[in-house]
Amino acid sequence: MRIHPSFEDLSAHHDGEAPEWTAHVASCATCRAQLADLAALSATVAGPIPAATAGLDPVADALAAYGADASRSREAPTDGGRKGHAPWGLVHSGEAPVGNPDRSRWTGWMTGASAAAVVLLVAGVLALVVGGGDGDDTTTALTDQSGQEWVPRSDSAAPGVAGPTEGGRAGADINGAVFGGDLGEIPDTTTLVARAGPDLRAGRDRAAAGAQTTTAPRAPTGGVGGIAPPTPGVVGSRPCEMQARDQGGDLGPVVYYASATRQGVPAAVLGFAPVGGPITVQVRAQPDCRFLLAASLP
Amino acid sequence: MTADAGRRPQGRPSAVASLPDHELVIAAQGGDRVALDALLRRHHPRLRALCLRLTGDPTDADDACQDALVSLVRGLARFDGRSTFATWAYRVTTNTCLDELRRRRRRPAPGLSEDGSAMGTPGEIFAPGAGDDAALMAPDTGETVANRLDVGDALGRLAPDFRVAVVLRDLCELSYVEIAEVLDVPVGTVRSRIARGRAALLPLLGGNPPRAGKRRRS
Repeated sequence: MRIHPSFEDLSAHHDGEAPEWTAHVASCATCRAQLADLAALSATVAGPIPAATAGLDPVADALAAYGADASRSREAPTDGGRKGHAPWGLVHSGEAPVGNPDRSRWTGWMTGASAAAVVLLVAGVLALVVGGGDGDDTTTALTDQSGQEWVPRSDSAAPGVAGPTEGGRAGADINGAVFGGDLGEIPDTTTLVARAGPDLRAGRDRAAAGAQTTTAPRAPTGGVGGIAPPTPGVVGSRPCEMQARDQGGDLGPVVYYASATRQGVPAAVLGFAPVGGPITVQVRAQPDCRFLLAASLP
Repeated sequence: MTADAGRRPQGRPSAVASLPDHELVIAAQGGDRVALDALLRRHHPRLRALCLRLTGDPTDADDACQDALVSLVRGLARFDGRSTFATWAYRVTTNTCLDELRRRRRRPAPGLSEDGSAMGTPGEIFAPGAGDDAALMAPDTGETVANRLDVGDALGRLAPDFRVAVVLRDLCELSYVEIAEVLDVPVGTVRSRIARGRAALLPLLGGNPPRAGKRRRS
């Protein structure tokens, strides 16, 4: 009488994890047939993987999302190699641990709710001070969740220009950046690049032309509560921009912004164009500025 | 020149690409972007393949993979080298995919347990709880045997816990100990999930159904 291994035994033996059954398998045609099926199954699971979408470079995109653009690689700093050293300032205290999305979503919701309350409060105060508007005011102040104003440049903003959440006209110029309007739902990076690309490049070209006559603006720093004060000609007061800069490195000036949704989450789209570097575009949730998606353009 | 500096890649991508993972990790933790780029590019194809097998959809896989890469970049400073970089990367990627699956609330077809008993009503998400790790099978196994499924479809019929175990073994070629580390479960659970996942997959992919699960005499 022979004792045959269970299927679990055979499966483990197939993986080299149950060598005690080697002698039995060598002399048992039934078990060898089952092992052949297992080998075929494993080969199928490991089989050909469809290629990634052409034109995408997820590694570059992931690096670009935090300002570590691989295409502009630099030598390591001289103190490299220390364990625990946070490279590129990528790790920040507000980062949620991997595998705990519920917590991050909850804390994000709390942050968002608080920010929304501030927005409503500031909007109410502004309405009282300014005395309201009829919607045709070309200098309508855009207010973000921090209460910072984002004021269209009076020399370029077209009538009806509004902020991303107000459905403004695409192509308008606000604080030197091109406004791309509402991009709608962004399911993937391909769509993001397709919809934002033309205006992004226009914004980059415009910024490059401006840089020939003026000093390239530096990323704003300081300000109350970590939010830089509005800087003329620079979109520097957006918390999402500040968060991107906190997490990244030399992103360059913002040359483009738009609104969108990502899996139904309202989002801000920010395009950065460092001098001499590739354009990067980030999609960040509103109002908590949580990173959602990024892509780079040549 | 310090020992670390001597090991550090010197910024030439071709030279960096030939370095082993642990040296790239040290360099990347020190801020070397070339090393980080090389490290991610080395592992990206397998990570994307893992995402594709776990999510079952190329677009979802690309999204999940990018999220995982971002998580790897974010968390690299905290990677302490107790496991290999590959194992850690698989863990991060697997968690990202599972999060994605939970978030999108994929609903597999209603299934039967191995003994044929109903496991739920249509639309219900089957996730094995403690002590209940029965794999999902298609509702009409006889028909699906005749009409062999695509591997992605077949994997999609498994509960995520079984799918992950099978894919980490057959695609990523991790040992049971490594899979246990990735999934944070005992090795015996890994062994059981792989076997039960395979038992469910075999008939779906045209193989012979497994024999009875217990050891038998003849």
